[in-house]
Amino acid sequence: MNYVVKNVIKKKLFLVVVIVLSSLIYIAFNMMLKFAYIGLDKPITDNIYFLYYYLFPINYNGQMSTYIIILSFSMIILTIYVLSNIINFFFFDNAVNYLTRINREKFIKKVILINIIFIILIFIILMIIFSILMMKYKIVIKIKWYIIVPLVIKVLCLILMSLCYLYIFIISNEVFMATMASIFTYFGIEIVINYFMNFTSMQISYDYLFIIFLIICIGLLYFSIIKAFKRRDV
Amino acid sequence: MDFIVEVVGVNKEFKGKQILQNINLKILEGEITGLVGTNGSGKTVLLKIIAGLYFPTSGKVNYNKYTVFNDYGILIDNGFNNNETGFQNLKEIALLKNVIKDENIFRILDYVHLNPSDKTKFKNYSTGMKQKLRIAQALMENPKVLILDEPFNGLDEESVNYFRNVFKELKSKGVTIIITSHYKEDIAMLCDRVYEINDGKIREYEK
Repeated sequence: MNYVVKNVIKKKLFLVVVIVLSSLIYIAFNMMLKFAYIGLDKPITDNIYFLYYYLFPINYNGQMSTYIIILSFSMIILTIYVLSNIINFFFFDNAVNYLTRINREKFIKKVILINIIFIILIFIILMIIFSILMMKYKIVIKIKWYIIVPLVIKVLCLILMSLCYLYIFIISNEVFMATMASIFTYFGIEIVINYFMNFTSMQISYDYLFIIFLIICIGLLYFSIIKAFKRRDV
Repeated sequence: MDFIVEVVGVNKEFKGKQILQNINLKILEGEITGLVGTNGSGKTVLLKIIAGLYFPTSGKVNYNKYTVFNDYGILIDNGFNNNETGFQNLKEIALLKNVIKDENIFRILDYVHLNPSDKTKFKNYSTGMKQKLRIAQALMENPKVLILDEPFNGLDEESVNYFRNVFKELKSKGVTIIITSHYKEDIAMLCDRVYEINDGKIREYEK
């Protein structure tokens, strides 16, 4: 794991791209918050809907369509860029060293685990950016039990997107196809969330069923990846 | 003599193009087997199939006595981290199987005539040094079988002669070696058996 972290994270280009994309996320959501609060002169309390709009930008009903696009695509590109670096590391730079020393199933499980760890890292970056913006605008989101739901759904969406990328790359060997598949997965899930979103109560209807559905999809992809990799040329 | 690897009726296609046709081959224990052929003839593809990196479109590879993960040392397109030294690179790879210690890595670097204490990063290595590091990674875990794809590429004449003797010495210790090379001298001096691959087909070659 240390080897992967050192080899992927310590590359200057990787750090530059992550910082640029994180900055775009910051700027886009900052503009959305500014627009939403022009003219208001009282402090905002307990606005969980900001968390929903940040995590699932397509659901935003305001007029800041350009910033929604920047926010959504920055999140997607950040995730895909990190994934592609991991794929490069395992499938190109170091495949021979790994696959002649550990068996295929162990190798691909390691790749999946590293993917998930980096997804959580991306999620932490997103939440740090969100927290900074909430503090900047003095917006309080009270810690209640239901705040966990959108966070869990977002993490599961990111994991699903990453496994989708990995699976399509394994079966097609095409970065473009894998990227398109991830993008469609991401937007597909957000559209479904939008359909089930109750904008009055700011909750996703059947949210627990949604979580179970995502976990099942992740499980199916996990086993599909292991099966597909068994006879893949590297 | 026992076979170590048996290739039976292997065909390999990539995107509809036939690369290997009906390859039948036995690698015998303790021998140095050479594969010769022009660029693009399929030598590296065959080595990758034997190493388990590629799968045949049809046919199979049987292994006897030794397994790739535990007993093979492989030099085929090995990648290294450009921002680490030779020692650091080998150490990271050694952690995968965790069967050797730092002292072994020092020893193998010295054995291939690289300075174990050198702080030069891999990206600043010469072509010859890079090739020596690839050879080191193949040898460091005391393999019983070596698969070497063009091991002398990028080496100066002195190093080529040195490594020819290294491989002969390994053979005398019972290591089975499969080697590809463009140099006829390597084949003449090293190999007990030679196969030529031409247009994806194989035949035993008279030395």
